[in-house]
Amino acid sequence: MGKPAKKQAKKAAKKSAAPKPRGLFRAAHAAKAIAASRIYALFVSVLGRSIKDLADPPSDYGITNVIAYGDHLNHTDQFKPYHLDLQSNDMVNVQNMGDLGGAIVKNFQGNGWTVTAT
Amino acid sequence: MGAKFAIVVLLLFFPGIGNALTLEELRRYDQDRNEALNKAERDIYAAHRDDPILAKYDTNTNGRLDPEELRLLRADIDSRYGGGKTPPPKPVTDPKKLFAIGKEIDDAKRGGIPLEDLVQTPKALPDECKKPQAIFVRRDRMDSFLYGITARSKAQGASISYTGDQAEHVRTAKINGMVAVLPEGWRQPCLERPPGYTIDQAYLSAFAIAPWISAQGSINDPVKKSEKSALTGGFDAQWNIFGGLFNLQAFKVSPYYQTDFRGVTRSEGATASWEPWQYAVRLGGSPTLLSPNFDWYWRVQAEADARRVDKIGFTDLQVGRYAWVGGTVQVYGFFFPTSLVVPEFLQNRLNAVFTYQGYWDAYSSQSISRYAAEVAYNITADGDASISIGYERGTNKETMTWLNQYVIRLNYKY
Repeated sequence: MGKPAKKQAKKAAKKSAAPKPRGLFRAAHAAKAIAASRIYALFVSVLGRSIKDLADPPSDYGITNVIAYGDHLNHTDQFKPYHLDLQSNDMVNVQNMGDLGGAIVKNFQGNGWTVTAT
Repeated sequence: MGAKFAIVVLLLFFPGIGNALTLEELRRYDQDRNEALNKAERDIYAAHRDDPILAKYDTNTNGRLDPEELRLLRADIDSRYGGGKTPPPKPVTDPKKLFAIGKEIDDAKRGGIPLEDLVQTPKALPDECKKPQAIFVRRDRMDSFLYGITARSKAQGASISYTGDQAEHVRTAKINGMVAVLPEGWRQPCLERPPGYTIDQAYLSAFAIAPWISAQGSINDPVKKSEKSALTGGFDAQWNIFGGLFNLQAFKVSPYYQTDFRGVTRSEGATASWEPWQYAVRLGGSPTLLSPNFDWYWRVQAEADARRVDKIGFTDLQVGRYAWVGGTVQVYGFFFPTSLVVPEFLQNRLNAVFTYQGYWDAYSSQSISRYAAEVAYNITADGDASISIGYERGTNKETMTWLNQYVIRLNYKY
C-alpha cells in the first residue's frame, strides 16, 4: 500500500518538473510580440512618405485599389518576413489609412503576434 | 529651408492651415527646441500619452507631478469625485487604436510629421462597401470597376453641355456619361481565400452584376447631318481574381443594346474586358511616392467587342458584324502632390491623363486608334468637381467618328 503511494508521489514530482506543452506554447506565443510603432514604421517604409492623417483616403497615397494593395503588402520586403496574409475581404471595407493600418495590425494578431502599444 | 521656415511661421500664426495639431502637441515635449525628441523628451511624451491625467496636470512637462501640480489634481478630484480613485486604464487591444498609437510613437521618434506632409487638407471617402452605393454616375465605363471600390476622387465624372448658337439658329446638347444601378445582393466583394491556399495562389475574391446605361455624343435642333451619338444599355457581370501573377485581376462581360439619341440606330453585342493591377511596376497605382513634385501610375485594359448592326442611324457604324479586339492604356500623372515650392492652390490639385486606344476588327481586318491627352484641375479638395482641357485625335469606336479636337470640360461626379 505504501509502495504505490510513493511511486505516485514520485511520478507527480516528475510530471511537475517537466515542461508542460501548453506552457511551452504560451511562452513561444508570448515571444511573438511586436510594437505597433514597428508595424507603422514598416508601413511608412513601403509608402515612402509619412501618413499625415489616419483619416486620409488611401487614394491620397497612390493606392487607387486597396484590395490589390493588400496583395502588394503581402509580398513587400517589409512584411513578407512576418508572413502578412491580407485577403480581399480584409481590405474591402478599408476607407482610410487608419482602416488600412488596422487591417495590417489585425492580421498580425490573427497570425499569433502580440501587438503592444509601446 | 526658407520655404520650410515660412510654413512653420504660417502654421504658427494660422493653426487652421493643414493638420498642425499633432506637431503643436509634439512641440510641447521638444524642450531643447531642436525639432526632434531625444530619449528623455520621448519618455515624458510616452508617459503623458499613456496617462492623460499626468499630461493634463504636469504643466511644466517634466514627467512628474510637482507639489503644486499634485495639489491642483487632488483639489480637482475632491471637488469632482469626493476623493474617490479613478480605475486603472485597460490594456489597448483594438487593432485600429494600436495602429494609431504606433503612428504617434513613430512620429515622435522622427521628431513629428514632416511639414511637407501636413499642408494638405484631408479628404473624405464614403463607406462604399459596408453600405453599398446603389447608383453610380461616371464619365464612361472605364471608371466603373467593381462599382464603388475605385476611389471617386480618382474617377472621371459625367459631363453635359448645352450650346445655343443665335447666329446659326442651332441648339446643341452634348452628353458624356454613364449611370449604373446595383441592387442589394448583386455584389459580393468579400469572398474568402479557400482553405490551404497560400498568398502566392490566385482565388476568386469578388463578383458583381449591374445594369447600366451610357450616353455619348450630341443632339442638335434642327437635325444636323454631322450629328453623332450613342445611347447604350446593358448588364455588367464582373469578378475579381486576387493574388497570383498580379495583385488583382478584374474581369467584365457586358451584353448590350445600342441606339442613338433619336432612337434610330439598331445594334447589339457584347463586350469583355480584363484589367490587371501590379503595384510593384506601378500598374494600377503608385506604391511609393516618386517625388514631392510628381507621382504617376498607369492602367491597362484589354477588351473584346462583338457587335451586330442592323440600322446605322446617327452613328458612323456600318451595317453588318464587327468583332473588335484591342485595349486601352492610360498614364496618370499627379503634379506637386506634396511639394512646398508651389502655391497652396496648386498642391495636389493638378493632374494629367494620357489615353491610347487601339482596336482591330477580326471581320474586316480594319484597325482604328484614338489618343487623348487631358490636364485637369480639381476645383474642390475632394476632386468631385474639376475643370479640364484636353486634345483628342483618332476614331471613336462607339460612333466610328474621326476626331481631331480640343475639349474643355466642367466635370462633376457622384
